Amino acid sequence: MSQTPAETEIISKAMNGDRQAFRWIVEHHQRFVYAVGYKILGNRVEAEDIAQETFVRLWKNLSKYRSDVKLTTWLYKIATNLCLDHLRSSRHKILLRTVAPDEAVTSQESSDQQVMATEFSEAVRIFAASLQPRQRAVFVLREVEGLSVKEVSDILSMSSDLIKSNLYHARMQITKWMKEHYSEKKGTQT
Amino acid sequence: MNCKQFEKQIYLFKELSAAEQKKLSEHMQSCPKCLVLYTNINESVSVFSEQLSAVPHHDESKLTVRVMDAMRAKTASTSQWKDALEIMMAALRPGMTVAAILLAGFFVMEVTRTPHRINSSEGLTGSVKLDRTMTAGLAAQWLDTRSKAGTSTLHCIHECQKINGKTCIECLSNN
Repeated sequence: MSQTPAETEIISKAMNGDRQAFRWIVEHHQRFVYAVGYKILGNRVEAEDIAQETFVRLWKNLSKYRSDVKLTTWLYKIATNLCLDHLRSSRHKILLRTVAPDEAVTSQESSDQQVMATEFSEAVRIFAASLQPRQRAVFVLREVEGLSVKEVSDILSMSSDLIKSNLYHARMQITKWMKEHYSEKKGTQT
Repeated sequence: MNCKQFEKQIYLFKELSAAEQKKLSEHMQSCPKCLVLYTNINESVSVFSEQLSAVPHHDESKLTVRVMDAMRAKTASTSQWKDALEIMMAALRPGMTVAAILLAGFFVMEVTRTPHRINSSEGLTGSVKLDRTMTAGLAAQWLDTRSKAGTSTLHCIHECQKINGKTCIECLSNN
């Protein structure tokens, strides 16, 4: 997502306290901020809370904004670090045990295939939650969001070696888990 | 390259240089077991990522309103704090001025009473750590008294608290 001249102008207006300009930023970027939160946390309510807090922090710190950094990179940074803090908190662990699957993985219709797909999605979500917070965040940013190692390293303020180490462990655990569960699923589908 | 080396590197295939990737690819061509591992990793990561990328819908306008409300509340509470701080500062300003003057006076007094090297009237010198009640003049007198009494050391030695078997004035006053 590159920054257009119009967007740069809107950001500078927001930096000068223009709330309408800031509202535009919220409307324009909230979908991806919420999505990042959901992909890391796996919970809709928590992802909305993270998105809200991300924009409030952006507003508070907008005066420190440097135009050489893309706004999206900054938003990724705030949102991901909020997610990591949240994952380490006990509140998230309690929610994870009590919250029902989100709408994306539940369907009104209930054919056998849909039930299986829903169960598989839920199993993936639960397994993703069992990964270490850093591994999960690195995996989401690199594999799901498609960012480069350098971008992930900037967002998480971690060295490239540490990013690679987390990626290595995440991919290895996921491959092992998928071998046990996905091959079963493929087997039952045929 | 052997299978062990391959297994160590294959999980970071995408992050390797072109030359390293080429080495791994060459090994896979001659090793079916490693080719299967590579295929498994790719498929697993791809399917898993696809599942994680499914995001449920959220009410965008509601979230915008939430953000703008939270922002307003934050700004209001910040300005309330600022106002309260300004009122408090205005109320405390006269008191703080007096306190600053007193503190400066105390500091000047402390500086003048810190350990000094004093010349006694007989031309003897010694170091005396002044306590709060002892002025530079009193210390000079103390040095004179000690020298007249035949005291060879004029230093106030606080480690032993004695000078030639007698407790020094400062240590006496401190006790």
